Amino acid sequence: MAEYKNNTIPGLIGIFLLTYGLFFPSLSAEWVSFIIDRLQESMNIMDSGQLLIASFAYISRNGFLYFLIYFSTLLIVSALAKNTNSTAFSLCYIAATITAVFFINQFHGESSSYAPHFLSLGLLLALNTYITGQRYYYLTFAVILFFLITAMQCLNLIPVLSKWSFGADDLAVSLKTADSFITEDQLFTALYFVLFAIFFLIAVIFALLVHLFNMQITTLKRFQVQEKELKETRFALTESKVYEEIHSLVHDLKTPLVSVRGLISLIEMKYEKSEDKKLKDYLTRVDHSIEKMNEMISEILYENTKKEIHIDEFLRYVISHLALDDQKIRLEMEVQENLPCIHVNKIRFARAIANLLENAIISFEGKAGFIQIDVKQVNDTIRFQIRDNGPGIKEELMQEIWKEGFSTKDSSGIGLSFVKRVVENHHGSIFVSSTPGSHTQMDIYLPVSSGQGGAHDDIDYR
Amino acid sequence: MKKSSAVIGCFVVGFLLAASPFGGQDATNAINSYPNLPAPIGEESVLLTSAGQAPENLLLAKIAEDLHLEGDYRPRALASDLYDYRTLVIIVGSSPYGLQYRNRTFTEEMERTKQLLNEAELRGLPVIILHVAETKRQDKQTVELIKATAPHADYFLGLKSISSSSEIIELMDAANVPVTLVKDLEDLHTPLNSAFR
Repeated sequence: MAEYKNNTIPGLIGIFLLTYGLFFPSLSAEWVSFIIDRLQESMNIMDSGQLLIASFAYISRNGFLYFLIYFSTLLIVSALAKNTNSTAFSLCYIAATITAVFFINQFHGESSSYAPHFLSLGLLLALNTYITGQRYYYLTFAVILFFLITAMQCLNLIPVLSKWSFGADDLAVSLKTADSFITEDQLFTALYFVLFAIFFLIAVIFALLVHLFNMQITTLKRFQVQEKELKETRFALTESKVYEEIHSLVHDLKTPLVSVRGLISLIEMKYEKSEDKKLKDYLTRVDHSIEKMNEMISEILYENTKKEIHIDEFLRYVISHLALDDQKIRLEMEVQENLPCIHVNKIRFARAIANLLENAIISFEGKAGFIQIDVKQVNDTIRFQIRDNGPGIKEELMQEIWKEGFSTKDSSGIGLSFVKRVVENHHGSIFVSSTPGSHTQMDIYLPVSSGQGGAHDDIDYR
Repeated sequence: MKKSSAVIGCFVVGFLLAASPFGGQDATNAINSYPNLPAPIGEESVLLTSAGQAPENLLLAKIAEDLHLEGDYRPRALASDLYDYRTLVIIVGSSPYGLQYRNRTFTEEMERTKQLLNEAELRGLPVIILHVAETKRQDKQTVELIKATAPHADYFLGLKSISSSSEIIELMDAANVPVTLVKDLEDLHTPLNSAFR
């Protein structure tokens, strides 16, 4: 829709300007009278000053007329063809401008020669290749067009170029004949060659400056992108090293654990015949704890290590990790009855849910509020819905929150990307909806366990 | 198709169109109609008028003033004004903006010119035709005016550059009108003076 508007407005302005341009020769009778008055005055009193005024008025009038034509056709054609630097655009622009000039000649007998127009268009399109793809394109084009059109109108008044079809229109012929009579072609030849050179050079220099400026902007943008990529790479590298360290540390925990387990077995064997029931009970409990710790280490080390777990048990495990004591937050939990077990990597999935809850807690910034956890079966999925009445997320940030490194709280910015990764690793999906100032809602859909109708298999790397 | 092809195409078409006037046949060698200065044709006083109302036609008045010719420049003179004059000098050159400036149409201008020429013929007045805008002003309307005036002319004065357009010269040749072509506008003084003295 925005694209449509952007193309429509220049197109409509172009049509308006073109219509005005086509009628301009009839609307500028006063201007023409002024030129003829000064021209005849110059011949009457043989005054080259009056002739100069007449010629300047002629250049202004013709410059304005052809500026309208050339600029309006540009607006119309660029509204139709989006890429102003393509061959199709150039050909359409040439065709549109020459057609408009043809109608001007047919209606008003303005100029019988098309050669200066083709040359003007050639120069204009050559300069146009240097000014594409920037914000103030139309303004830049208008400035270059102004200088180029003025330069070409100067050529129309150089007598020696009459043979080359320049200045074949009614007023130019009168002006050149008067100049020939009063100054023997000296005035216009010298003056307008100089003026042409000045205006043409200004047009070229301006186009080159714009081009260089655009190149600088492009280079700057490229540097910014490269800098951002470098920052992201550094962050990923650091994160990767941290994970690597944690991984090896957790892995190393297994060695003393195996030793402890072995020693416990030895103690059990040594006191096998002992009647000390308390000692046996302690040893069994220690063994169970070691077994549990071993499982936890495995779950941390291997993403795909998953097991069946009751949702109630899982949520109790998650809540036990939350620090809610100093908060004015009310945590409401509703779990549908008789839900099937979920098949998850307990440690990782619990960390993901805890991340979402912690984000909600942080967003309150110590103020009062509530967080609702609602778990129920939706078709063949279990839906974990976490809703809070915090400040919400701005609409423009909705796509950004999933990116690694994105944060509005000076944190690492890996929380939500981690959540998404974990959910996707469990063949689930996550959706967020938020209204700034009202609420934020996270919905996680997890397939029910394969043992109870789910449809996935996991590889255990233990 | 390369991006620059449109630009190159524009330049090629532009140069071809600009160079097209040089492709025509040069009539200078084909027509040998540059007689010596004529014996006096006209007498004073002179009615100087414009056919086509081109703004630059005023230079005829300036030349006449320089030559101290007795007469008046009246760009819109009517046939009824001829009673007071003994020679009619018409400078031909049609200008759409000039006609608009004088609030008249080309048809009215053509009619006025024909009436002037008929009246001059009735009165037996010599008619001298001038065309001073070189090749720059040889549009359809100007040629029509020259065609209308040629059969009544006693003398034609123009610039050498028009010889590249054989049509005007052929018209004068067909009407047996003596023709003098000069190089510059300033050179018009001599043959015009000779036509009277």
